[in-house]
Amino acid sequence: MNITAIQNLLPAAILAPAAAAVLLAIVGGRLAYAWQCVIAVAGAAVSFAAILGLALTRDSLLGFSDVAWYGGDWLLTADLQAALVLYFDRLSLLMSLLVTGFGALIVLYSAQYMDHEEDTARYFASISLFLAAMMVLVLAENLFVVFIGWEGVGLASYLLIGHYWKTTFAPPAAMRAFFVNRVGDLFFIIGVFLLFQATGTVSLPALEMQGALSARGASQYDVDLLGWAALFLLGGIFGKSAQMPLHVWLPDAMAGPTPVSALIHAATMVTSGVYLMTRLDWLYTLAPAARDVVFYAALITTLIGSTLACVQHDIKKVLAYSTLAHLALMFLALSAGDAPAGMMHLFGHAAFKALLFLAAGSVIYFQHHEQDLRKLRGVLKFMPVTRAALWIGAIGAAGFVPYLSASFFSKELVMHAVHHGHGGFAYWLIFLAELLGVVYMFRLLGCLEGESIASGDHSLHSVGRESGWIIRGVLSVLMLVSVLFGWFSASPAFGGSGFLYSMLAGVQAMPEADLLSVVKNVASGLIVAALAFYFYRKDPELAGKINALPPLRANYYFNEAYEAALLRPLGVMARLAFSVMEGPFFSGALRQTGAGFQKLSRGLRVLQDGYINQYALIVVLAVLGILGALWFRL
Amino acid sequence: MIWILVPFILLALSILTQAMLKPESPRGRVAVLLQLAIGISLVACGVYAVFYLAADAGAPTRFWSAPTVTLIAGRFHFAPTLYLDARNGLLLIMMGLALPLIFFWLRATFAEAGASFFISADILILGLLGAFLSDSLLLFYVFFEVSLIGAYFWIGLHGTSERVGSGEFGALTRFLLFTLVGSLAMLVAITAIFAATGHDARLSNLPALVSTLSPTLRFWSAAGFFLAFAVKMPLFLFHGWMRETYRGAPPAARAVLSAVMSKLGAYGFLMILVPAYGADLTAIAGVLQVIAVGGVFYGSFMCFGVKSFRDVLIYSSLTHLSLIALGIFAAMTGAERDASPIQAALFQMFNHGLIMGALFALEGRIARDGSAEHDFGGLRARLPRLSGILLLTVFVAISLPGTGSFAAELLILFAAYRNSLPACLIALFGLLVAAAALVRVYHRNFLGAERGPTAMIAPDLTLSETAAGIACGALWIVTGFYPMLILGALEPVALLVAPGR
Repeated sequence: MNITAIQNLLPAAILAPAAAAVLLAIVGGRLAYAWQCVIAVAGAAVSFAAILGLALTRDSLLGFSDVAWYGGDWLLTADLQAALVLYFDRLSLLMSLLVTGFGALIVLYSAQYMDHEEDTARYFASISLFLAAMMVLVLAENLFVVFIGWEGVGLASYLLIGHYWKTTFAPPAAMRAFFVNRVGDLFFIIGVFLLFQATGTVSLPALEMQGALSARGASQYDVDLLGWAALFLLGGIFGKSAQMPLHVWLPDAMAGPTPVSALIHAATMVTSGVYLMTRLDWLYTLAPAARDVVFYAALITTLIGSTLACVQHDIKKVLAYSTLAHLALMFLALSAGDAPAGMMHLFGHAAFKALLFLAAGSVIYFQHHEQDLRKLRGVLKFMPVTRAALWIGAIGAAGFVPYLSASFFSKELVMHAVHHGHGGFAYWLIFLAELLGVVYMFRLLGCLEGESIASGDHSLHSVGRESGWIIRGVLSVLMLVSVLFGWFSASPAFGGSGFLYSMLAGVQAMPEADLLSVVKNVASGLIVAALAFYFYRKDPELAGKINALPPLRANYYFNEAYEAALLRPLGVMARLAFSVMEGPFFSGALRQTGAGFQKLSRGLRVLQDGYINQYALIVVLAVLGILGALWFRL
Repeated sequence: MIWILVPFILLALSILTQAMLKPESPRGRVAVLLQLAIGISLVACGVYAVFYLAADAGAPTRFWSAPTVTLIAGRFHFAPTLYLDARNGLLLIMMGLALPLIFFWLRATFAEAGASFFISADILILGLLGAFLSDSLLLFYVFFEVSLIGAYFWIGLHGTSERVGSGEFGALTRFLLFTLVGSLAMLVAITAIFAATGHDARLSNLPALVSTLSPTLRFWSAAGFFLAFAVKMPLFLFHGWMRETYRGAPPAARAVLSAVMSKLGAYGFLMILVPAYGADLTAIAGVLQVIAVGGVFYGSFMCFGVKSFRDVLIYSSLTHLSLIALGIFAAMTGAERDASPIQAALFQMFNHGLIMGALFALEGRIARDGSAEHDFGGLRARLPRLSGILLLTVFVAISLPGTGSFAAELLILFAAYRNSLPACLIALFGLLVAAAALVRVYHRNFLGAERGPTAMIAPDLTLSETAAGIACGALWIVTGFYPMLILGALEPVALLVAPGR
């Protein structure tokens, strides 16, 4: 293929799902369910094929040379300049393989999962829109185009979280997800403005090149301004990737259909903050204060996520809080200056978390949307593929089995980097949080593997059925991917290839893992996993007892705090201001004016002894005004 | 250029047709067709200006003059002149798209209306069109007043004008008085300029004329124009007439007022105050910025405080108009001659017109009785198409990136940011609150369980009505990814009004 044809694969990867989305949105409702699935799967598959084609036509994955596609100017004014350019380097290659690959698999999975649902055309249109927007985000060459994708995925996420729009819980969850993100994006926009003011460009590769020069002390930029830009940009990054204090939307986002939780709220969209911060790693190298903010926010988030995941009864909420903790781990890597480790964790997490969500979806599907762990005991007995998927996913997430857990070595790297940068206390806090990570994963397995209570309300629906072949097929592929990620993430010091790390880091060598630390993590993980599995399998009510602690039950009062400190005062003040300002003040002033005219009119009526309505009065005044002006001059 | 009269002739024909139709004839359907014809002629003129004239760097503006009229022998000559370039061309396209859309979507609401409904509507549109096309200042004024007369009769004869407070003065009378106070101040200003210079003042040579005026006269004439446009738009603090007038107006009038008439005020700022008085206004740039940012903030706050869909739309309109004002004022305070905020403001006027027209039209057709006070819920079950198009429009209205209004707002916010970071932050915050209020009111009415008087729900959009909405969506998205299609055409003409430094 010549270079032009290759370049055109980049917009094709976006336009294919976009076309599917438009088609489904406009005529999807009139099509049979099978056709809706075909269109959506085709859009995602073409996108995946385009990216795969791009990857394979380059010389080799490691010797990858960058490709760009120019689609005209977006803004070209005296103030702001940005072009519609797509850019394909090693990072966007890996990220877009992840997005389109998982996207295609999960859309395929949805074809079976959604077959009993209403509004399926809207569902497939929204998920196709998501894929298109996410590809814009991943492939964008500059920050404005990133922002188009950024808000596009936000819109798709909003639509999909609110899929069950007749319920009382889904629409508010959708709205919260969208607007918590928008709060972050408010700061993001200012951050982009600051960055543009400091550097005169929003192009990511150009910025990175300049950033590399700056790092060597040859900076012509205002470092203070860059520091502020780094801080403001964190608003958007924290919103999208659900870090404290903007994390509150993610657990609620589980109101959407389960494949959506797998794709958007676990594997891809929520990691776009991590992705962007990796792209801007040069900036954060120059802004240590911003890195500190990231460090503390991520540390708190990982503790919030790990503790709350242990006490949730809703299987999807367990996974959602676990996502918070894992995202925080990625940010810890970035704040410690080891961006490739963060990205490596991103990929591993995408694999095992998507697997876990889809396996949970397989359970939920056959239990008629029952999501309470206490009522799902014993359900795995008849679902061998789902059972295997849950075990492999949980081992991946718990991350104490090297070569099998995709998160094992990335976690090692993060903890090593944090120990190096922030000392022992932070290290042991993270160690504790990671042990809790083992606890909630094996609690989940323990609950599901427990003896079923087949009586009364707790009886399981349609016991003895495994999901259909599409769901089983997708689960099998993801199991394989998850294990492969575990294998390829292994450190060279332990016989691994370090393949994933070197793909992400380029020339930078993978830091060596410490033998003592590896042994400690494996051993402690094994013990904790066994204990958690044993106790939760035995006693289903154990979680309920811990959950009685009020702060845990209330998710540390974040929602209550926002409600009390922001939303309620805003609403009360707005209503008060409306009734004070709009009625009496502005309209009242008008009323006074009106009454004044009326009095004047009465007076004039007496003088002229005729019928003068207001309009005529005005004409008189106008004439007087004109005459006055003329006289003034004449 | 005499063909520029075609839309005027069509409007006159429309008035004549409605006047001569028999009482039992289907006026509503005729009106929709006539609006479509008028719309096509407007879009044709506009497209010619934006995509053909703008490319002609030498002469992006074309004029057409009627024979000169002598007002006072030997002293005052009046040459009625029209002009066309990308500045008003863009607004013509907006009108040409918004008017047929509004009439098409709302035709059920005026199916029973008499001739006066359509004639007053046409007078309003005629006034707006003439004001946008006028190059002579006096002609501008005349059309400005014609539009007011049209609006007065349209709302007065066919609205549900509320009587508030003591009952002595309806909302409509107040609207009339307030806008008249504004436009009379402008008339005084125009007359003063006329008298002082003896020239036929034209927009194109106004800056030169104004620079010869005495400082006192300059100050007072600026104040006169300011009052007229601030009330018309309306700006924050001059908006007292807005809510009650909009609420009392028939749905179509409300949509036209918000889509087109509010742009007249912004247009006046852009064409008269910025180029001719820009240097003088720099002295009060701080005050202007406070009014604009205050309007964004205040409007968004009001959005959050009101309950009905209509009220939220009214105040979100105030919010976004204030943002346009912010762009216009930023053009005057910038350190160097900068066309960007003016391009952005014009582009946003275009976007806002179509968006608000669509929003008010969709909102206006939900309830059969036209009331804003029904507490609906779960409307999506009965109105799936309307709900889809409305959701699309709501997300365009809150400037989702990838739509034209995002590109325009981004430029305006960047200009504001360069003047003052706090102003930009407050404006962003206001936009966020207004967006939340808009989405929230959509949720309350359209999602969740079905609620409210279901018998009052009007039929859903038909296929062709939905297609019209989808076409608007396509336009918004195309201009979102290629905003330079329009912004590029605006650059040379925006420089014409950018105040020099």
